[in-house]
Amino acid sequence: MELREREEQENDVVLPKKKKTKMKLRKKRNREERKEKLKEEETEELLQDPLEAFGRDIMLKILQNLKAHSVALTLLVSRAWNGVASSDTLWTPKCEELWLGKAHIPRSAVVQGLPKLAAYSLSVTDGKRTRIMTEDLCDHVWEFHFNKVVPEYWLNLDPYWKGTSPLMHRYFHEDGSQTADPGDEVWGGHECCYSIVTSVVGEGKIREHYVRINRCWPHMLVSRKKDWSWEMSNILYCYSSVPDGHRVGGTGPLLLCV
Amino acid sequence: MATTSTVKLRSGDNEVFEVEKQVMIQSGTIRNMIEDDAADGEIPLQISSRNLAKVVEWCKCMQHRDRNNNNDNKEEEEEEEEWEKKFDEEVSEDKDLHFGLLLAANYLEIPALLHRLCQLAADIVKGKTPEEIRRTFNIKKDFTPEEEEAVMDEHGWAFHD
Repeated sequence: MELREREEQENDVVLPKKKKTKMKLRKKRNREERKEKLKEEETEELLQDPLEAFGRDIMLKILQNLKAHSVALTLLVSRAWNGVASSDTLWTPKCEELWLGKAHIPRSAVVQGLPKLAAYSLSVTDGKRTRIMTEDLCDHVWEFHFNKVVPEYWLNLDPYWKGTSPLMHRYFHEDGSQTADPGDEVWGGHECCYSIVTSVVGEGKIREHYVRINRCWPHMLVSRKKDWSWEMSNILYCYSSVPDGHRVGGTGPLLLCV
Repeated sequence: MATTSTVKLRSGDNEVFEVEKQVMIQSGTIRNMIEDDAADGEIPLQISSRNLAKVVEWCKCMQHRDRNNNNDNKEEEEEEEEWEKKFDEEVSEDKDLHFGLLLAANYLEIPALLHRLCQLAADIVKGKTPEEIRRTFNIKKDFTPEEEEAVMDEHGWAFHD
């Protein structure tokens, strides 16, 4: 401040009066710019690494206020931040929140001793997996109903269309067979088998993926709903996995296959 | 129990604040001292007068609010909300104050204040990329490209979408 005043005084002496106002204006502008810059530098200077300033416990308290995505981004700030941001303290409640209301919890994510951050990432990845495995078919109970295009005879046997309950169920078994509930009117009592067909081209790129009942029944395309439940359908009928998120130890394959 | 109803806090730069005990028992540290009858003299604190003044102000406002919780005084309620909003703004604009208060709230064990300040600190981080966070806090990047890639691969949902 003193320095600036001195500058002005010098100007007073050196400059003729006319020019002074202009010069003063410019000076003022410069000064303001400089002030602004100084302010910026000041704030920048004050921002120290909160992890260093406050330590791990407070840093956890800070990160606890962030959503999963924001916390995950802090994993890449530095090694020290990574150490805090991957803590179970943060990710245990995030996993609970993620799993709440989901139809299925992946078995790979609830392996004992698995860090909760890994569990979270595995769950998100598995929830998007559309390649179905034998474990998925066998672990879940499947609701079965006809689509509207089938002859009325079948629709009249289907509780889904009659508006009665319970709905029909189908069960997949590891030996490749499929069964229904006793007393299922649609089920003919015949032997039934299923297969998962996946054709892979090039570098692991999936060209075709479907589930087929018996040898020659129409292919069922596989899709995934928002709550991680499965749907398999063709023009004639539709299978939906019955929610079993409460099952201890999770469901589905232990090893992820993308 | 001590006989006076106030407690004297001495800041790191030797300013003395005399505050009602009822206000300061929000601080676990000071509450313990009061309960142990160790709060009769001045309590020296390693907190600057500026930060201590703000802490005291906050405690007063909160105590006032708690005391009036049963009243349905809309005007006062609005006033308190306004005060809190101003507090948030002031802290958000002044990182020096923010960080100083955070340390003070932690040291004095004032959970509600600590929580609010942590929320405000989280707001600084929220929505920023790792690079932006590093720039904000002057943090040096110490990951090798390989380590960085490994983290991104393992948590692809956060980085690749």
